Amino acid sequence: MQAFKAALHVVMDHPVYLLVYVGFLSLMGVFITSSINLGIDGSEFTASKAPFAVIDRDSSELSESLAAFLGEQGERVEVTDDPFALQDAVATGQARYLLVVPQGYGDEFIESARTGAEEPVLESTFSYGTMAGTLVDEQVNQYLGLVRAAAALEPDASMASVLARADEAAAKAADVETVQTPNSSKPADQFAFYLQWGTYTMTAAIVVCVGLLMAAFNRTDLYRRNLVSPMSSLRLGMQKAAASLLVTALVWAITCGIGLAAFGSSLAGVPPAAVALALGGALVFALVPLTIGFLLGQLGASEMVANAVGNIAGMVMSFLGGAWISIELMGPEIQTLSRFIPTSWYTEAVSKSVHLTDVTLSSAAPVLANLGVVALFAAALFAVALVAGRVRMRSAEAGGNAAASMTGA
Amino acid sequence: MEDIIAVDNLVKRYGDVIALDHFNLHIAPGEVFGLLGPNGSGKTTVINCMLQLLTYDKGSISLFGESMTPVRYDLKRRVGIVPQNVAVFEELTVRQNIDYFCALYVPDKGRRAALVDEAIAFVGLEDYVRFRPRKLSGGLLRRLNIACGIAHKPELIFFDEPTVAVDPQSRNAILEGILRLNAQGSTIVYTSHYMEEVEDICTRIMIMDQGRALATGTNDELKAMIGTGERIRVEVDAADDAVLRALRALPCVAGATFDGAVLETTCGNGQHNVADVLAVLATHGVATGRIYAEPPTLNDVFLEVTGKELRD
Repeated sequence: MQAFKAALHVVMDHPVYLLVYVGFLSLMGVFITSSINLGIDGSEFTASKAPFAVIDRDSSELSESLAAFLGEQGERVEVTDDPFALQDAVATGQARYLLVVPQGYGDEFIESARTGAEEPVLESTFSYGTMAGTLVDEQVNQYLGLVRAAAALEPDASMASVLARADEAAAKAADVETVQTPNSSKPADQFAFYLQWGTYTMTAAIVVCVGLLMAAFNRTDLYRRNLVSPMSSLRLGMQKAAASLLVTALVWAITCGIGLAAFGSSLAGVPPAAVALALGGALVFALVPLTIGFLLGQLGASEMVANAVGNIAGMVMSFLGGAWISIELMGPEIQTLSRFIPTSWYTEAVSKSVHLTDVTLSSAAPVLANLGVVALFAAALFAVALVAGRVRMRSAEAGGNAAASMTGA
Repeated sequence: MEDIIAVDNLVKRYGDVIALDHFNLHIAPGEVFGLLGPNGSGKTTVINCMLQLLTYDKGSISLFGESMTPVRYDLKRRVGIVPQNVAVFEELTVRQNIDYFCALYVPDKGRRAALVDEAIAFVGLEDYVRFRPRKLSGGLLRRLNIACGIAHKPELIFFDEPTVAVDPQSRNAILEGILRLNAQGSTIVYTSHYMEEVEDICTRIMIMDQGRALATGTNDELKAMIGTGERIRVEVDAADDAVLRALRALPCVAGATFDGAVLETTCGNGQHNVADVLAVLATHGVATGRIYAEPPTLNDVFLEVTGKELRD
């Protein structure tokens, strides 16, 4: 077991990697998971209320009534009628929507509704950072539509009467109820999101640690020295593989352990077998960075390269695999591309796992199929790594010492 | 006595390049055998073939009287290798490194501990056992490299240019260590392109070039093979063309030159070279100062055998 021990020594000689990549990134995952709203809080619908401002230069019954209507839908803020103050209010987000009612608007609007003349125009500005302003604008149009209809229907009615009818119609609203379906978000999604975030943690940590371990043994001269020893290549390879698997399992256990400690309570009601399936999925996914690390080792990658690849591959795989942002929110090209990233199959498997109400072979089949694809990715990478290693060692054979040193070992 | 290494008609090709051309090598137990040759002469290739790191196209290799193959772990167990480049784990301490390589040959932990201690003492690294290699100087690294190769007390040890880029003090320590290992019973195969080292420690030397053995023998045997004898230098005030012509006319003299202060005469093998040269100078009335007579060096042998300088 000498090679096994030496391999672990190599990894343990870099404790900072375990601390940063496993500990720090896992805690980062905990904080991020805790801070995002996955739509699992309560079951009551609450309409969002955007801040808005109305600059009423008309002071008519219509403009006051419109402002009062908007006040019921949103949160009115007072803004001075000054060009700079108006710009500031929208730019800083103090008001997501700014409505300017020009002088004479009320009378002209009623007149146009009854005669069919051209409608007067309202000035409005939206804040660019959110869609809230657009929604307020919709509400303005909705209210003016009601006023227009009331004025047209009763050509002789007073302004007050028209506005009263419009207010009455605007007060009618549909009841909103939140309905939970099997696919709806639930507390366990928090744990699922953490495990999905963990793709970055595990990729970075395992690629770097296994890459270092393998590279240490694959430095050309060390490789040759091992090769001339009485230990067979098979035994040596088995011991290195065992050490790599142990490191992988360790990273997986720490990552999942932190997740369970932080979000274990959200798993109430999820069958233990489903939780085990999700955790098992994470272990299957961990084989992917394991093979990437193996590939780097076969190529004799340096510590710096291992760090770069671990981080970049971790971020790219997590992003394109939908671990951070749902793939459904991305463009069709990215969605297609994501199918070629093992992370997307894994994130899907984890989501499906925590939504299982009863774990049977048939209910778990889609999850297992996804994990099977992930395992195939790992197998393909492993094959590539074996070929790369063989090519590299062959090139090192030619020319004795000169070539050996040229390989950069 | 049976050869510890027997290489017969070995041919190794890299594409169109012939690295070893029907190469033969026989080394008896207890020898310190030097492989001498310029870069690319095939020294490392022949060692790699013997260690089964390289396949070969033709020929046979036997170690300890038995045919060597990549899976002859019983034979590999009796061999030690000290590669040219330091091949140790940067992440392991000095002691852990030696223990690791020793463990590849000696699984028994108790026996191994004593061997590791002995190797550490042998190379004088007692004060550095807890150091990582990156904390060691070049000379100490070389010593660690040697300790990793010899800790299991191999019967046959390959030293592949172990003194490259080493300070003179460490170089002497390494050479002394090699002689001690030989005295303890190990057969040594030593490759180098430092001729003085090979001349100092090797009992037999092979000069290689272009994958072929050009000459093999003891130091004296090799020197006797060549036509060059002594090089005689005489400090003189003046030496005109007549003197030089007279010297060149001597049967034992191959060449004579004068640089304004020293008259240098290159002689062939002969019994009375110095006396003959001095007699010519006396005849021409040349006053002599200090006289130096140097026997031929291995460099002369190499130059004559290969037709080029070793460091070409």
